[in-house]
Amino acid sequence: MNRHRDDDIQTILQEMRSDYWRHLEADNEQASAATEDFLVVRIADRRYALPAGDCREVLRLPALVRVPRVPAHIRGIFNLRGEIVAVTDLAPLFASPPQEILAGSRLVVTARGGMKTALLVAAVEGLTSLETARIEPLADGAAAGQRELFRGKRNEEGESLLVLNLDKVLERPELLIDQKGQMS
Amino acid sequence: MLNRINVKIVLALISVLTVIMALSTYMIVTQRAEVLREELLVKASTLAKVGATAMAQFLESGLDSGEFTLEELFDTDYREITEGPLAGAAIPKYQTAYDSYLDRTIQDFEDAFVASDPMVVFAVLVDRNGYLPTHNSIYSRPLTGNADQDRDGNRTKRLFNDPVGLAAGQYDNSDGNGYLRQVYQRDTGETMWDVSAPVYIGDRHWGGFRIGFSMQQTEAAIADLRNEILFYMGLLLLFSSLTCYFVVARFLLPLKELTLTADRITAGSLDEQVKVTSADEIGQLGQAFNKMTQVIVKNLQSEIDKSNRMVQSVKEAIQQLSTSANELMAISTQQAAGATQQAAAVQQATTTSEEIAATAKQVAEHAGRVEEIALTATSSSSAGQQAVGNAVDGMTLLKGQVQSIAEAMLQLGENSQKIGGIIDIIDEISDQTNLLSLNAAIEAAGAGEAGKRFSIVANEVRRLADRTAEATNQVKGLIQQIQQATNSTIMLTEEGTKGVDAASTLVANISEVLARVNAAVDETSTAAAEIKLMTQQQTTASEQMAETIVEVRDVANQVATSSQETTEAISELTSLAERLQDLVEADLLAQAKEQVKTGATEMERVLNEAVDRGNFSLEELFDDNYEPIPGTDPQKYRTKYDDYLDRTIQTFENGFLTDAHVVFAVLVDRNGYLPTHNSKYCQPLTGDQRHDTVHNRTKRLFNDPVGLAAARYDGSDGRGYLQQMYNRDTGEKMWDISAPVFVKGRHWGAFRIGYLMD
Repeated sequence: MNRHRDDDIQTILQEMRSDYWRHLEADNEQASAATEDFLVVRIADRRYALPAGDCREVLRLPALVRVPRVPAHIRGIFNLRGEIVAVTDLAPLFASPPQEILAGSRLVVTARGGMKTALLVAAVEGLTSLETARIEPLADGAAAGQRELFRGKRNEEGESLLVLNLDKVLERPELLIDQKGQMS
Repeated sequence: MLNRINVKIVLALISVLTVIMALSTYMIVTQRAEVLREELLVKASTLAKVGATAMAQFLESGLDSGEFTLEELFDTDYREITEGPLAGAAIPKYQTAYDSYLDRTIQDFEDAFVASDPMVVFAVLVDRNGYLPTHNSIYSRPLTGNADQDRDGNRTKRLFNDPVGLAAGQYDNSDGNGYLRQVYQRDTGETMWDVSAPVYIGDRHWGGFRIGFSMQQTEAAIADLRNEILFYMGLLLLFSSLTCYFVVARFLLPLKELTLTADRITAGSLDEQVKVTSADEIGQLGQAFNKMTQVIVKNLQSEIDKSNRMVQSVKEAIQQLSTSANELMAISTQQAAGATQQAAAVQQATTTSEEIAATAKQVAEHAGRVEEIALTATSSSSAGQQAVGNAVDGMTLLKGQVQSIAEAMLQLGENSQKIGGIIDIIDEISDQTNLLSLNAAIEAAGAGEAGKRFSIVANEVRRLADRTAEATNQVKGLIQQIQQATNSTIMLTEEGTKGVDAASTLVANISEVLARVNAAVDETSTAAAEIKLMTQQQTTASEQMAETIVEVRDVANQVATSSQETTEAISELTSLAERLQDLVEADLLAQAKEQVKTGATEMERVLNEAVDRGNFSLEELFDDNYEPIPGTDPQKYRTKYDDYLDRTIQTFENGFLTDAHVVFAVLVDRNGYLPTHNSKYCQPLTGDQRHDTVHNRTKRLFNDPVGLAAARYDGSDGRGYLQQMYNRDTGEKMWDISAPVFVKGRHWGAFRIGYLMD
C-alpha cells in the first residue's frame, strides 16, 4: 500500500515534470491569435472574468477594519503597504446576498483610472487568455442597468463566464458616490 | 367218596395193615429162607467134607497100589492132550499121571453125589490149581466137535482157574471152618453155591472137593412161601376192610339224618326235630342239636330285625362317606390346583429373584465402571484445572499485549496529528505559492508581451501549488482515515481488554466449576463404591431369597405331593365307599346299570340313524358353538339338532321315570349340554326364575363337576358306566349313573339317569 502510494507519488511527479515542459512548448507555438488576459474569479457562485490589465494583485483577506455608516457592500478597509484600500463586495450589485468571508476568500486589488479598490471574491481560479472575437454580447432581455456592467459572456462547458466591464462597474453611482464621498 | 368217614377209616386201616403185613411177610420169608439156607449149607458142607475125605482115601489107595507116585500126584506139569478121543477140544484139556486112575475109580463116587440130590449140579475133585482130572459122567460125554455143545457136555480134564475155581482148589482150611462156600452166578444165569472141602494127602494139601449146588430150587421154595403168605395177608385185609366199612357206615346213619334235618332247618322248616334212637354220643349230639335249634330259632327273629336296622344305618353311613369323599376330593383337587399355582408362583419368584440377582450383578458391574469413569473424570478435571490455570496466564499476557497495542495506537494517533500540523504548514505554503504565482501572472500580464514568458512560468508555479494543495488534501484524508482507524483500534483494544477480563472471569469460573466437578466426581466415585457394596449385599440377599424360595418350593412340592396322596387316599376311600355301596346297593345298582346302558344304546341308535338320514350332519352334531336363546335365565342354548331330539327321544326318556327311584333320564353332550329334558322338566316358562330353574331345565349347559364328569366319561376305565353321588341343586341326594354315547365311533356325550336315594 505504502509502496503503491510511493509509486503513485513518483508517477505524479513524473507527470508534473512532463506537463510543465509540454505547456512551455505549447504556449510558445500558439501566441498568434488576438487574445486578452482575464482573471477568473468566483462571486456568489458565479464565474466572472476581470481584465488582467486592471488587476494589481491578489491578496489573502487581511484583518479588515469595519467602517461605520457606509453601505453594506463596503466590507471594510485595510492597509496595503501604507495605502488604505476599501474592500467592495460586488454580490449586492448582481442582486445576490452579501458574501460570507471564508478561508478561501480573496481580495483582488484593481486599479482603474487611478483608483484602487479591493474586490471581495469567494475564490480566484486563475488567469486565462480569451480570444476577443469569441466574447459574445449579452442578450437584450437583461435589465439595462445590469447589461452595461458586462462586456459580454462566454459559454464554457455547462457554466457561463461573464466578462465584467470594470470601468462601468466602478462607475456605478452607489460605488462611485460612496467612494468619492468617502474619499472627499 | 373220600369225604365219607367210613371210607376214610377203611383207607386208614388198609394203609396201616398193608405196612404191617408187608413187614411181617418180609420178616417171615427172610427167616424161613435163612433157615433153609442154613440147612442146605450144613448138608452141603457135610457132603463136601465126606467127598474130600473119600477122595483123599482114593488118592492114597492109588499111591499105595503104585498107580502113581507121590511126586506124580503133586506134579503140576499138566500135559495137554493131543491124542485120543479127547484131543482137539476147543478149550484145551490136560492129562496127568493119575487122571486115568481117577477116571476109573472116583467117577461113580462123584456121580453118586449128583444123583443123590437134584440140587447138586456137580461134585468133583480138583487140585490146588483148579485142574479137574475126572468130572461127573454127565459132563464127560464124548466130544462132538461142536464147540458150544462140547463146552457144556465135556468139561473134564480142564483147568478151572477162574476165581471161584481157584479159591475152591486152594482152600486149605486155614480159617478152621472146614469148608468154603462161594456164591456166584453160573454162566446159565442161575445162582450157584460152590461148597468145597480141602483134600490132604498125608499132611500135604493136594486140592479140594467141590460140590456145586443149584439154588434154583431153594429160591423157588422161598418164592412159593412168600406168595402164599401174601395171599393170606391180602385175604385178611379185604375181610377186615369190608367189616370195618359196613360197621362204621351203620354207626354213621344217625349223623346223616342229623345233616338232612339241619339242611331242612336251613331251608326254612324251623320246627324240624331230630329223632333220637340211641343214647350213645351221636344220640347225645342229636339231643343237643334239637336244643340248639330251638334256642337259635327263638333268637333269630330279633337278630334279623337288628341286622336290618344295621344295614340301614350302614347305608346311610356309606352315603355320608361317599358325599364326604366327593367333597374331600373337590377340596383336595382345589388344594392340588393351589399347590400347582403356588409352585408356578414360586417358579416365577425364582425367576424374578434370579433376574434381580442378575440385575444386581449388572448394577455392580456398572457401578464399577462408573467408579473407573469417575477416576478418569477426576484426572481429566485436574488436567482441566491445570489447563485453566495456563489459560489464565495466557489471558494476563494477552491483556498486557493488548494494552501495549492500545498505547502504540495512541502514539500513532498523536503522530498522525503532528503529521496533520505539518501538512497544514505545507498547505499554507502551497496556498501562498498559489497566490504568489497568481500575482506573478497578473504582474506578467501587466507587462504585456515582455511578461509573456514569465506569465507561463507563473502559471506553471500556480499549477504546482494547486497540485501540492491536492496532495496535501489527500494526505489529510489519509491522516483522517488513520486517526479513525486508530480510534476504532483503540476502542477495539479497550473492548479486547474488557473481553480478556471477561474471559479471565469466565476461566476463573471454569476453574471453580471444575473444582466443583472434581468434588462431584469424587462423590460419584464414593457413591459408586457404595452402590457396588450395596449391590453385592443385594446379590447376597437375593441369593438368600433364592434359597428361601427353593425351600418354599420344596414345601409347595411337599404340599402338592401330599395333596396328591390325599387325592389318592380319597379316591381309595371313594372306591371303598363305592364297593360298600355296591354291596349294600347291589340290586339297585345292577338295575341302574342295565337301565343306563339300555338308554345309551338307544341314544346311539337314534343319533346314528339321524346322521345317516341327514336330519343333521355329523359336524353339526359335534359343533360346540351353542346359540344362546335370548331372554333366558339360567341361559339356554339352541343347536342344529335339539328340535329333532325334542321330537324323537323325549318319550323314550320319559319311559325311565316310571321307576319311582328315577328322577331324570336324559341325553347330554360331552360339554354337559342337555338338548331335550324329560317332559316333567319342560314346563312352560313363567318368568319366575326360581320356579323355572326347577321346572324348566331343558337346553341348559350342565357343566357343574358332576355334570361334566358324566358328560366326559368315555368308558375308558372299562367299566362302561360312571356312578356319582351328589346333592342336586334342588337339595336332593342323588345317584348319577351315566354311560357314554358314541356316534360314528366318536365319543359324543352320555346318557344320564338320576336316582333319588331314600
